[in-house]
Amino acid sequence: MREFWHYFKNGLLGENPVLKLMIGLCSVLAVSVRVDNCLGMGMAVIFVLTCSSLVISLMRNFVPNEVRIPIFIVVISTFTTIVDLVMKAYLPPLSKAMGIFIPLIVVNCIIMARAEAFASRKPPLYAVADALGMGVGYTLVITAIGVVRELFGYGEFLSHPVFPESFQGMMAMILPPGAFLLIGIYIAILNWSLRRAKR
Amino acid sequence: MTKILRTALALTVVCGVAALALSFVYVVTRERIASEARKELDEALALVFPEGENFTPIDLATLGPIPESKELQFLEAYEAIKGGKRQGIVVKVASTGYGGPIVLLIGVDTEKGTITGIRVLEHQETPGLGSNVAAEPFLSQFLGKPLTSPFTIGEDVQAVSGATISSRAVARACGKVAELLRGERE
Repeated sequence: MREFWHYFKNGLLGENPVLKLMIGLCSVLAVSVRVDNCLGMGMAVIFVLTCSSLVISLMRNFVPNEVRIPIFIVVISTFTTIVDLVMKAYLPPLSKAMGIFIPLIVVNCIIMARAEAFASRKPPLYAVADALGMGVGYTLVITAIGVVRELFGYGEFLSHPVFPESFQGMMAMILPPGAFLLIGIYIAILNWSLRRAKR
Repeated sequence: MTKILRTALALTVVCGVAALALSFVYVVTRERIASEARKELDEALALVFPEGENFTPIDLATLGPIPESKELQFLEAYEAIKGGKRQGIVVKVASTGYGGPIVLLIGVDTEKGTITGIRVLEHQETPGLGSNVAAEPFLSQFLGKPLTSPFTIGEDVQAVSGATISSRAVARACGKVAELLRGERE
């Protein structure tokens, strides 16, 4: 059980996929304009990542080394398509807001990287711990970016106005540069505080 | 040889299971996705033609020769019916804007010869600039306009500031639809 927490925490801070490994940034830049989109995207990534890590870990002794990548892709794309269809059916507005980025989870390198580097070598329990940690780590960062972008870009939080009517949104926050700047600031803060903690 | 077979077998089994799982999810969600899409279309149609009681899809060719151009494609057409009589026509067009096609639904009252409503269904314009062409202040300029208006930015339509190309795309779509339907007026 201690091992489980160890792998889970790894994804939150030490190897946070966005701030430390810096993978899967494309969806972070594109989707993080509004907090509800971030949460939706986060849930979708957690689901796909956890399910595919579990399945890949269970199959790890059966999968021949030569075709492991195609098999991983089939597994990941199956779960992604399931998420896409279920969202279209039950959460159409969210599915519309995220558009192409749900199908693109297939090529999100977080999932492929964790399948290749972790899930295919470790027992299922640890694979799930790692996937949950990475997924939650991704969701936390993308939501932290989304809160700031929505607040300063639209003057709203979860689509509720926060500032008085006269507020003029910051265009840079709505456009991708805002996400780049915020990711940079967050990376700096994380590295700084990790270094301080070590001292 | 056995190695090749084993590899092929592994891939086949994985793909087979994946296909099964996907078919299952597809069958379960198919109805719902179709009904959500229909609901969305019905809501949009009711917004651009508030007087219409129901809408039936019609063949675009019945509206006359469809002008073909790279910047503007006619996609679908619907008849708006009220009290069993045709009151107007709603046309779905895609007009090329700044970031890609802007898909619009334009409602036309064929009795009065005016635009009854216009709605942006999809667009990829710059958020905060071009995306404003999908908002009320810009679109409401077209409401009630007669089909004979010029639909030209700077003449009878005010562009969204900083988004001339997007504004022009919407105005062009309206102009072409009006031109096509002018003949439909009874």
